[in-house]
Amino acid sequence: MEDQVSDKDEMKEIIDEFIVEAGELAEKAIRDIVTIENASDEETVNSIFRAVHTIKGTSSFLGFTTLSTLAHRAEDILGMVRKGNMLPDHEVADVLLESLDLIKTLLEEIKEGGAERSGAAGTIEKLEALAKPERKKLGEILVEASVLSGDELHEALKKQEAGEPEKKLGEMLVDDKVITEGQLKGFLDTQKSQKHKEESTIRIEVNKLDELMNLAGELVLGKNRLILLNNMVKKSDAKNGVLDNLADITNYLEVVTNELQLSVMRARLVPISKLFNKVPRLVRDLSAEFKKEIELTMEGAETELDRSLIESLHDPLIHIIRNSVDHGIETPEDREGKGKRPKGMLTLKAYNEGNGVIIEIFDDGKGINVEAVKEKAREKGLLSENELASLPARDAMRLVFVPGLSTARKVSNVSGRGVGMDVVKTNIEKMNGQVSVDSEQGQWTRLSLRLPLTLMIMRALIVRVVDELFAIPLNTVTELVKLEEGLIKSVDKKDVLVLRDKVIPVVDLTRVFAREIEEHADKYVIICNIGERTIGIKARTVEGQEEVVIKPLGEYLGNINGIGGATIRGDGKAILILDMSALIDRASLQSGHRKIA
Amino acid sequence: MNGGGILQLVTFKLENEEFGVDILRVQEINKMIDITRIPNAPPFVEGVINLRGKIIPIVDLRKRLGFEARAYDKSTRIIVVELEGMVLGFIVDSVSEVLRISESTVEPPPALVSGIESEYIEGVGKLDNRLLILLELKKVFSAIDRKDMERAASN
Repeated sequence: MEDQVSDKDEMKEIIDEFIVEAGELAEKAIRDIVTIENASDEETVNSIFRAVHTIKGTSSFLGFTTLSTLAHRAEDILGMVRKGNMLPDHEVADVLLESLDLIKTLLEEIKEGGAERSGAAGTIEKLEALAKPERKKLGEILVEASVLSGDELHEALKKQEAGEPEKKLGEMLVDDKVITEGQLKGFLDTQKSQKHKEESTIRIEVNKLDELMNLAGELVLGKNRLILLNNMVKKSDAKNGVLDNLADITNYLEVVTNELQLSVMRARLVPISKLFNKVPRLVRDLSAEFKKEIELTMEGAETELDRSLIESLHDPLIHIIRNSVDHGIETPEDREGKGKRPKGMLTLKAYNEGNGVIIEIFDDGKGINVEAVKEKAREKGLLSENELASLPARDAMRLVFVPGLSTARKVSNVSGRGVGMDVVKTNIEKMNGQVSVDSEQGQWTRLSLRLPLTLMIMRALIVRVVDELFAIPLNTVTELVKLEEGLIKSVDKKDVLVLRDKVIPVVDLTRVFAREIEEHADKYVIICNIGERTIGIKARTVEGQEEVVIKPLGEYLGNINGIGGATIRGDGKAILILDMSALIDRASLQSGHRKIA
Repeated sequence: MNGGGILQLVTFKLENEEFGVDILRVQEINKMIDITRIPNAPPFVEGVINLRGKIIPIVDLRKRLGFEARAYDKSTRIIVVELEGMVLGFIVDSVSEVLRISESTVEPPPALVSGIESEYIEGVGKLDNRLLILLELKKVFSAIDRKDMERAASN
């Protein structure tokens, strides 16, 4: 007895959940359809497809046949749109919207009375007609076959719409004895003469792609081991035959591996339009909220990024745009007072550069008030008077990324609390990216985000510090300097290197990593930079360049300061990858930026 | 603990004490291999190793439990365990055997056992003339918290 009751409750709970979930999915789908009517994009179409697919599945499982059939037909249409076989024009959008409205109605009916009431035959027919546009409507075929006159068809269609429940045209005509079952069957067969379009795309689960990505990574490691082996064999005077073969195989494997890696990486690329598409709506809403007038331009929406980066980029981008609208761009009155156009300009630009992607957010607002930022830094005791006095403008601007430093006078929803920009910087740097800012006070601000194309594999310089090997991301390395007597000078108890008139703080990793220092054992300084900040890292030896697969340190260790993951070398040993931005931050805070007189 | 069940344990030695951990948690037992040291990590974290392509952190259990450190020798082993998705290894002096003991032989830990924090101990098993300390792995290897990191960074 008890079981039956709890089963019913469970069922009701499931149905209730379904109604809520399906309702939300339908709502969102409706909004999305409006969007794609104006500008179709892959992700939104996929989203609508998935929503309808889910509704179909669950409603079918729960026994709501009208709903599931309706959803099924709509899914068919969406499938065709997805594959590019159908353009989501007004006609298609109208029918889809009608379907979703009907889905909502049916959900309401289930909610109120526990069961579907309305019929969906009419809408289903429209969907089916859309799906097979070359297919003539049954009515047309009947008129052509002189079974019905044009008028009679018209009457029948009106009757269909008024009918409760709605019947399919064919069924209705059979019922009214206008045609026989046999005739109906015949006509329906005539309708069916479709050829299937070739499938040119395939759906694949993301985790399958991830697995491929992993395998490609492992292949890179295997290739590295083979290269190592090849070198070893070369050194030990092996017979020429074997050597040639080994060299060939190694080269071949290298080519294949590179191609595979690139292919998999490309499979994961998604155009940034996915993000950019949300921006116009966001800017419109923000402009209304903050009473600003903004003209938005976006360039380079077709630039592609790894899909995981797109996801991680979402929040930082939204925050930066909020900042621009809220704090950057002035009110129309202010702007006119300054002689600017009342409409503020906000430009988003994305483009490829080297092996990365650059995203620029530019606004012609009031720029960064360097003095105000310095004042805040002074207030918070971040830098001393001396340091502030000699801080160049560019470096001062970078202070906006320090936690707690917001010069906004009013605290609005998110921006203004000083929690924003530092989180943006941290998030971007977590992706192995870099953030930099440039501005002209009173005129404009430009934020540049530099992101790698892939998170998994990167080129690194392998160096020996004291007795351990470390990997330095090659994209941060600008040059290698051979250490000679007297090259490193001491300024204010900090080591610096003067390189072609530039003063570069030198980092002794032994100190950073709290080991014992051995004087004069280091032979090189590796000059690394991120943005405009440069440091030099002392090293015993430089082993060479390698492509490394980035492996996370794992949950137990979490984030270790200065370390950005680990990798496994050809000989199987694990070595640590240095987190350049953390090291640079540390060095910058300590030594500021000074010129030697 | 309700007296009826059987516990299967992997037992190992540290200093002169014998310990046991649930065999279901143990992924593998390895000989000592080269450990890559990690700077800025708490002192009981020896470093990381490469385990078939995965980076695994290695903890020196002696240091973690407060024993004096000791040089590694032929009998030193690394026990790799999996705790709710987190994989890590810890170094022990030697591994003894796999034992099956009845739950009824396990008593709750007294306040102080060999100087080890009592929260790390799940219980003490009595067998003939042996005393087995059953470790509460989840407490011993709770993900490194803020305090440990700050302590390490300031050293």
